[in-house]
Amino acid sequence: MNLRGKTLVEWLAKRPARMFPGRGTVSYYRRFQQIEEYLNNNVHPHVTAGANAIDGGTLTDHGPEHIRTVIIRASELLAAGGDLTPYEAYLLLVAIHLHDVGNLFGRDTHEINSEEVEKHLASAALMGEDQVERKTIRQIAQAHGGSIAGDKDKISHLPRNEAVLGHPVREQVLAAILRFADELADERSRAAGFLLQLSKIHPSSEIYHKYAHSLQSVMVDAQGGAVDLHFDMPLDDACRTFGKGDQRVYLLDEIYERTMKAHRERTYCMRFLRPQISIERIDVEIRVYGDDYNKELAKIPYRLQESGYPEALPGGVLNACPSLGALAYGNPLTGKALHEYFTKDQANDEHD
Amino acid sequence: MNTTDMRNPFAVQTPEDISADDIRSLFVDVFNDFHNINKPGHTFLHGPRGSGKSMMFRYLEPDCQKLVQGVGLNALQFFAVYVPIKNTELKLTELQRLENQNANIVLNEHFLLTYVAVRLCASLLKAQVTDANGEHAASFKSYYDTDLRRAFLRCGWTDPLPELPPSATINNSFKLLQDIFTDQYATLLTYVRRLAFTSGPVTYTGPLCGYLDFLLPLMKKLKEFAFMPSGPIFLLMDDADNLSRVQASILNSWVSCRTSADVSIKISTQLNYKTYLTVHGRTIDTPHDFSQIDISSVYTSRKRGYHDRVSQIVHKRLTMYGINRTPEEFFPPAQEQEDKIKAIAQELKARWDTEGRGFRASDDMVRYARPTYITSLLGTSKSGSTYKYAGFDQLVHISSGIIRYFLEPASLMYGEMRSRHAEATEISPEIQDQIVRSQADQFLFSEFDRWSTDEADKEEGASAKVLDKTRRLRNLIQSLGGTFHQILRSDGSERRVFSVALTDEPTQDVLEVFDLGVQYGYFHQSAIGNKEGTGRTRLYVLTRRLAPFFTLDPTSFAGYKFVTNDALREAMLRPKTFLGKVRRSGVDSVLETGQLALFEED
Repeated sequence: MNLRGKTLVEWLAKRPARMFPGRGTVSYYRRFQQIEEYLNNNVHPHVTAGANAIDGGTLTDHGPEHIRTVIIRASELLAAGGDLTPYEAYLLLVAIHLHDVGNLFGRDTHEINSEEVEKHLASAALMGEDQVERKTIRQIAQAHGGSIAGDKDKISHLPRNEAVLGHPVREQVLAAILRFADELADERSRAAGFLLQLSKIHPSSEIYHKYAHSLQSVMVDAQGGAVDLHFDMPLDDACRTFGKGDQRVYLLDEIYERTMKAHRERTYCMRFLRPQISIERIDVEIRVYGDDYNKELAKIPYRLQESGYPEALPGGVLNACPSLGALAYGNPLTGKALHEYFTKDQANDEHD
Repeated sequence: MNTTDMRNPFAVQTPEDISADDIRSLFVDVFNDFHNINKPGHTFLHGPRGSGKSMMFRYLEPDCQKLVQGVGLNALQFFAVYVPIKNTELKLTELQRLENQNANIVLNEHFLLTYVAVRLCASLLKAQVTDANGEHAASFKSYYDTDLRRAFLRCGWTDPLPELPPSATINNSFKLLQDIFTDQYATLLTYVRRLAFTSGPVTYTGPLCGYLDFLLPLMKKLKEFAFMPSGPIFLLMDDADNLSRVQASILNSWVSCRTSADVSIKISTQLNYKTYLTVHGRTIDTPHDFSQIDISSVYTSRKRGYHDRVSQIVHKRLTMYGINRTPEEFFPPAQEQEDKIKAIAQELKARWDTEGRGFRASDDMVRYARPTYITSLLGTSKSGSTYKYAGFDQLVHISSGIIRYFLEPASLMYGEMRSRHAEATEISPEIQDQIVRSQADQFLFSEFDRWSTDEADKEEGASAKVLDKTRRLRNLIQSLGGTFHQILRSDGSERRVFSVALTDEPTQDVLEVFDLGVQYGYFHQSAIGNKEGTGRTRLYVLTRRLAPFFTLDPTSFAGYKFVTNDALREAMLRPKTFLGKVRRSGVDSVLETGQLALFEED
């Protein structure tokens, strides 16, 4: 998708109205601007505070800046591939704006709690009144996390292709872009830097802010099929632990855990984005500095990618496919078990 | 004469209209044969029209299960919701306007879902939940006012939800919920109809419920109420062939969610289910996503299973009408004919030492006595049609594993008998024979014409292609039926042949014709070991309902002939030439080569 170095919002602004539903009678860009303005002024600035009030702790930034970052990451992903229609771009951008507003009502199941905000947008006549369009936006937004009917694989439950108001929409692709862009939207600006300095972060949330603060840069090299994550860690931070819930953890271990999650998210989302968008690896570099960032003490680079020949899963098929257990009344259905089953069966037949 | 005498013990009623009491009296438990049906797990139940699928589903409904098991609702093992697809408006032509327009999938899912929800509420009402101290009503109200209200809101519900008054009984609550879904169903119908008058997409402003975000949580919650069984809710989707392609793919998406511990979906089809793709672009497969039962296969692979089932059904029906006769006594064979066949059998037995062909004398008696008798009638007096298709056993064989094909003719026979006699304590062999023959004629002519016209109407723009396919099917039936008759008259070791097995891979056009034949019950598909003994190949069995039409012996269908794809194509295109060759050159030489001529026969 040729964005010419611009963001998806800027690209959307230049699309003629006739390329959207309504045959030129509706300006979808203006509609997006109105939604953005309303949410930036009335909702996004209060999301973090709302979640903190309900859950306790100190949530990392979920305000307008975070939304802007998600849009930039989505634009970077799309710059290398994918070819959204103008209407798909509109749906994606509105979904990005709505994906985290449910945090207003607490972190738990926040991905599905956006209906109150939507209701306000609708009553202010900012969103279109078509429920199909709204549901599509909602579904794309909701697939960024959580689970549905106990299944974390939410994107697979979306229709692959659906015509909305006469325009084809690839919901799985849009949801995967949002989800991966959101995963890559952590960065230093999300940390409450001032509160960190004053040590006023809630102890249970310390590590999340430290993690975001240490994330120096996120570079999406979609052409090269890579994401580069650079972390800077002062020596002091490397040598102490931080609060995470009711535990204390090292920052390096948190980086390992979070980058591993990013790797899983990449693997998952690429399932829906290939071949248009293909990110094959995440390159991580962690630098430990001393002396007020003047001296590099250590460099820890690693690459997360699917490479080489796949390792066999421990326990083989029997572990990978628990349904096999049911066939043998909970016992492993091995070759020997099968042999014994038939031998016993034959013996019974003869006995009968 | 009491009022019962005025009715017909074999009348085929729509199972939905039969009372739970009557179901208990009439239904023969078949779940030993179909053990996946009443167990948790998604299941497809395939079977031609009239094979007893709807009756099985009706039997599983809570009102019947309570009576049969003699327990209360919450002691049942499951709660079955009957969802007939045939009688719905789910196939509105207006819905086709959604294709490539506005939300074909989302709107169809909401449509299907509200319909299922209406039926779910109807089942709850029908189950007559008792609630003496109002405990259930109170807990339902609490759910309605909180989680359910929120779920509706999340689905885009904008109108105020009706209030559930504190005085509402549990059944009032179900009725209110049913009314909400009925209104939604009607709203969507109105929207869909409006599409007929516009060229572009029309804005839809109603709520949109999905399976995973609405219906499944609703059913899971219902299951938690103390009045419900602890086992899963069964959604019995009857005649799912009537779903459109997109509706079928939506239902498949529901099946692909492995929720069977809470909700098991049981889907019956008449072998014409449109797709196994989900809306997510993947397929659902057996045995991973669902188990599958083909009624015809069950009853063509087990020798006595079907016979015993029919016998029990007939016995129950006769008993219910105060007729104390066994099925064999009520449908007696043509005794003189049977005596002659027995005499031939004895003759074969006596000659077995010197001329026998089977391993045992009894093999020859079974295999050759009846065909020899039929052939003798043809050979001497040219009166093959005087062979009598009568007697309970023969009628069971002719019904070819489909219970309706026994009951419908039996009902006609009873009516005919009653029109001639005041009482009907048995059906004369003449009447049995007359009805069975006329049914075979109808099956190949008027009934064939009726459904082929329907098929052509369904495929707007491709009706010529459909009619060509139905013509080929009729040609194929005529060719194979005629061939099997030739085999019966031959000196072959197995003369009771109803089947052909393919020696090579069938071409698409041949497969399509067979598929159509299977769908309408003219053939049954199975598989056997191939000629080389290196694998398996397709086997198509001609229905024995047509035995009287082609003068065949219906008492066995074990015999089969190998046939090439080319031979089948010739049979479909030029039946007269094909049968002429069979008569002149012999069956095997034609079936296993099949040379195409240059021009098609008219």
